[in-house]
Amino acid sequence: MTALHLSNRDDLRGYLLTGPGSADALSAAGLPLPQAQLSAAASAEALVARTGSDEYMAFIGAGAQQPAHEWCFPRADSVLALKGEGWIALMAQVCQYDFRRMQPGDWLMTSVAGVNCWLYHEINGALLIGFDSGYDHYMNELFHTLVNELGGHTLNEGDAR
Amino acid sequence: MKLLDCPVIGKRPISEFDYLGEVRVPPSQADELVWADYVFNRKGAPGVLRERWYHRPTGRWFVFDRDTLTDEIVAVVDAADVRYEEPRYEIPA
Amino acid sequence: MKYRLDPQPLEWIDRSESMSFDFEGQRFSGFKGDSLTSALLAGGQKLLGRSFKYHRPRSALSLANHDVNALFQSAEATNIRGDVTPVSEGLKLRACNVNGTLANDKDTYIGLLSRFLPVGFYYKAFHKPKKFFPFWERLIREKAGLGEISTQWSAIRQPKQYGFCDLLVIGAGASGMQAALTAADAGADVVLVDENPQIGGSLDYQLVNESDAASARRQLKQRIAEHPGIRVFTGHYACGWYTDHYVPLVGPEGIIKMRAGGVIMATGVMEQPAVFRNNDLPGVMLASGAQRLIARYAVKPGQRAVVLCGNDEGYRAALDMIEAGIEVAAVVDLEWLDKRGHWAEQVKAKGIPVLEQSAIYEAKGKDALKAVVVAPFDGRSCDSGQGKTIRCDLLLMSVGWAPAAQLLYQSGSKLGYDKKLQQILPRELSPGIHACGRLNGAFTLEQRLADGERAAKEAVAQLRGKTVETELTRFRDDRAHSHDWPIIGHPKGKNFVDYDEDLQLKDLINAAKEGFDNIELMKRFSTNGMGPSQGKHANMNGIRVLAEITRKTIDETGSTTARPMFHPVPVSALAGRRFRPERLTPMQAWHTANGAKMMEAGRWLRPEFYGAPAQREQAILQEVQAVRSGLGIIDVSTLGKIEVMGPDAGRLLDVVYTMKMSTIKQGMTRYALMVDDSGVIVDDGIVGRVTDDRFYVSATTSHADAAFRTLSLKIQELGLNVRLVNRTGSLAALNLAGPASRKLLSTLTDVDLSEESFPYLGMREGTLCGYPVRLIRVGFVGELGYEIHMPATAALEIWETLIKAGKPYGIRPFGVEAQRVLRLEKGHIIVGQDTDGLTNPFEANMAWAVPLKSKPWFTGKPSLALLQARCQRRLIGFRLPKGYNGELPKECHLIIENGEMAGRITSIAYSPALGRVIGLAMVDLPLAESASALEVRVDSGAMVTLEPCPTPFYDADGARQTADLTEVA
Repeated sequence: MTALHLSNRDDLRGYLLTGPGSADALSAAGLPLPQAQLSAAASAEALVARTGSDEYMAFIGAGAQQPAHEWCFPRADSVLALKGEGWIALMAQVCQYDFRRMQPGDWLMTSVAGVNCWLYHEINGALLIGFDSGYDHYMNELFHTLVNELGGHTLNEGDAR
Repeated sequence: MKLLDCPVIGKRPISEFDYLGEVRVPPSQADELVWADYVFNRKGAPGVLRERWYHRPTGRWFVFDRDTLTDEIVAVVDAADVRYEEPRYEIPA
Repeated sequence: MKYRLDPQPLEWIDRSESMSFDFEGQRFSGFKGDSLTSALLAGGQKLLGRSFKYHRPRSALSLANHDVNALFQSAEATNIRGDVTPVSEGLKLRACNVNGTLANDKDTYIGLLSRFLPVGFYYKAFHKPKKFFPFWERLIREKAGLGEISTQWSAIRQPKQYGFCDLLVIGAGASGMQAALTAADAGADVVLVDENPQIGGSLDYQLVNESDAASARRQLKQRIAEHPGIRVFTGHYACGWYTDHYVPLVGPEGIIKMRAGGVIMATGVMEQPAVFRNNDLPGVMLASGAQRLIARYAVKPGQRAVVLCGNDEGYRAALDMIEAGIEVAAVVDLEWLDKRGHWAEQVKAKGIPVLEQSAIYEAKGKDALKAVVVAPFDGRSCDSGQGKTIRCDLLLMSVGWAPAAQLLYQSGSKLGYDKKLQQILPRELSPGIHACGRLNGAFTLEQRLADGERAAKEAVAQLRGKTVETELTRFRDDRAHSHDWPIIGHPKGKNFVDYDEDLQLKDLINAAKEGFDNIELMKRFSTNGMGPSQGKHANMNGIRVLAEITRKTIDETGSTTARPMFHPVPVSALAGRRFRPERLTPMQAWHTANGAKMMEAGRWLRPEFYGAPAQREQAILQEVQAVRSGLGIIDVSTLGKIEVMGPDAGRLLDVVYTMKMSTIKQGMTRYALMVDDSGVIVDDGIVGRVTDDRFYVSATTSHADAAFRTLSLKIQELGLNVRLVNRTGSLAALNLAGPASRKLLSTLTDVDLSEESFPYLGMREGTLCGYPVRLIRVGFVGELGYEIHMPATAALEIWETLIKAGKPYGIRPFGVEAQRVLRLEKGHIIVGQDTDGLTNPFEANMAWAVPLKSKPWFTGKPSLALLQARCQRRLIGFRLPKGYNGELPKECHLIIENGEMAGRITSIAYSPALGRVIGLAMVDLPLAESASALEVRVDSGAMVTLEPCPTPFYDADGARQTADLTEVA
């Protein structure tokens, strides 16, 4: 297993879609469509979670198309990516969820270090942790401290996956 | 701490929730005594209470029947079952 | 005199590594693995402490953390428990609770005054004459403490972590180890926890010399070490049981908050002392304490021993003493020898005299045990006339056990007294809770192993959802291991029940005589069980005594509520890592780079003002003036922002707010007042209509989340077809305010800002610096101004652009304090400051915001209909004379009329526009309506006169702003 590693996913743009036609708008933009509530589907360039009966959160990389929908609102999320040996031990300090149960492809919304977050376990990669960007400084500082304490390393910019 | 076992989101610690108290329907066109009872009084005797809980991280609502003596959730209630018609109140002439 | 024994088969010490430390100024050395107590005893230091009240000499009693006879402090820590703290190099320790030195404690005289210090004496004495009470209080406070605290210590935090398992097994003795293995073999994910540095429990000190136990011990430990399904946490104790099997494990690195699917309690039993005169002398120990000392630390507890037995275990201890080279002068058995088993036979076979039906009447010695007086015992009392003295320096007490059932009680399980075993045993276990081993009355090794296996099987079945018929009592022993009355009265007293509290037998008797004859009352009045050991060695005897006095059964007497923590937990472990979320706006870096003094607004940080702290007042004044005369800009990103859309959007807002929202025209806004069911104001803000089925709601910073939740709740309750999106974080906002605002903004946006196209209260969408924005004309600060709502990602750029382009107009950033003054000049309220938990709109002069006829319903309507005619107080404006330079009244200072409270100031500030101090006050209605001057009492107690005056104080016609409307703060 690789060493514990933290990076920021500044490449993702988040959107919230709600109301009738949300699902169609996602499909029309070539974005994946998750079925079950509070589940997610991912493609190479996008991550979409279903958060209500007709509500979706979409996180889109540079290459993907923005969905066109009357009730589609840009979000301001900060997203951390955590992976490597000891990531479960790190999360055990900040979140009351048993991450041994988290499978690749799982979507979770819970409280991390006192902040409401969405979490997604990438299929072949990291644990993504998203939260309102107002908490960017607080969460980055905390996670950097934790990663350093647990002997990992952190990257400050770009798209290290 | 207590875990609430919820539909869709599973077992979650109680710290993730806001407790909103008993599910109640405001009385329509009530006289002052009935209205004041609704506003100020609550059921305190032990028993099964139908309660509303708000899960903050997801913004989802849950309605549970909880035995307040044993602190056990005895039933999960469908939100549709606790809807009510918008009340009315006209100022008495 | 050599106290360190030859290597013991299961010793904890590592003789290859030695460490030295100081105690009371003297150098001692110990091995790695020694506890402070064992190292001191090995070095011949018998005297370890002075008791709490009487300062009596004390030494080791339990070596199990069930007493605090050995309590030390260092420069860095206090209340260090010698029995369970490992030796480390360089420690400098002294004893707690001594006046002078341990050897020469000047407070030992207090013991001579014991006659004047009966139980509860402090409730009765010292309060008369009243004037001397402060002297006594100071003295008692000094004497009543144990360790000392230094305020120079730095705060340490030990991060906590969550842990998860299927089954938590608490206690790694024989039954606990077996239970862990059985459960793990069945596929459960098991955590096995033990407070000791090693697993094994009493198997390793009580049965260390039992050859029959050796193979079981070896196999259990080896299988556990190899088993992938068992995680072992030694050096951790379970400090309490919380709902749904949430059990914090406290260890040297901090707390693991363990969540289990079920819990197996294999916590064992705690040995109880016998009560007789001078039972606290150094040299008097619990039998298991002596066994621990020998087996774990290879330290000899004495030279010549007497063993007091109320059970078989005492005989095992006698054999262990002999094995360690200690002479056993006699065994004193409270009962008949033929009650005992094979260990007693072995003792007899060695020629040790056994005195049956006898008890220890008193122990003799000044600072240490020298001899005991043995007398015939009939099960209740001694025939002291027939006393016989036996010389000894060690007395072992083996008279019985109390279950370590604290967590069992906390789980809601029920226990009851079993007369056969003379022990409190589990009766009814709560779901998911299991008990095994000596805690459950299984005493032989075979019983304990079988009981552990049984409990594990039941636990696993329960985890898998099968209904389980418990065989809780199946492997219990059928003979008593405790004596029901190991308590000997003595006319001279000093027979201790609670060693921590220096509580004698007569103290409990007197407490009951005074009427404190219920177990909870007796505990509190006598303080039995209230010391650092929390009754571990005292509660059982206390219950026995009370039952006897009140002629009740043990079950009827009951026991006191066992509360967490099981052992004291350091504050550093409880504190954990600090999680104090801080929420920043996109302009945060700009604010700090430009001299902003930040303040907390809930989780947010906001600029209070810009400038050096010493210039605070001046800076705020200048910011206010900039807005009035030219141009100001304030970051209001913290406001709640909610999109409300759908066919029922208007209906939803009509129900939640007092005013009618569904009639707002597209592109306009309306003041939004929210009250609760009782008519009390909870929030204000604005609502704007975007399109037919879409609205934009703004709420106050502190109420943003609650406003969203309220809207969401109403949708649920009424089954409305509405969608909400909380955009508080994804949109930023700023307010550009001042006469020059339109001029500046028009150069940067494509929105038509003319008065005709974009009137006051209007809302427009367009672009600014190329970004999509929403502009709202609001009036909180009372100047021409625009609230700009923009994507958070664009906010800093827009802010900086406005600052740069605003320079020619003298643009100045202003903070929360300046905004408070500006809105006060306009007489605008701040919800939560000018209103409190009882303020309704009528009291706040907002009857205009409460139309009672235009909607069939809104939250609080019936209350407001009733309250309309029942105003009891009113918010009024006031001012002080120009040039007033006396003591300034503050918010919450009271308005006094005829010596009674008649109101309070809610807001007060110096107004540059008016050149005098102005404010708002909530005043009782008759006084408010009288329009007479108000008298307010200030900090010094002096009275200051306030002159009522109408609001707004500034620009009453609203010429500076077209209509009278409040904006959100």
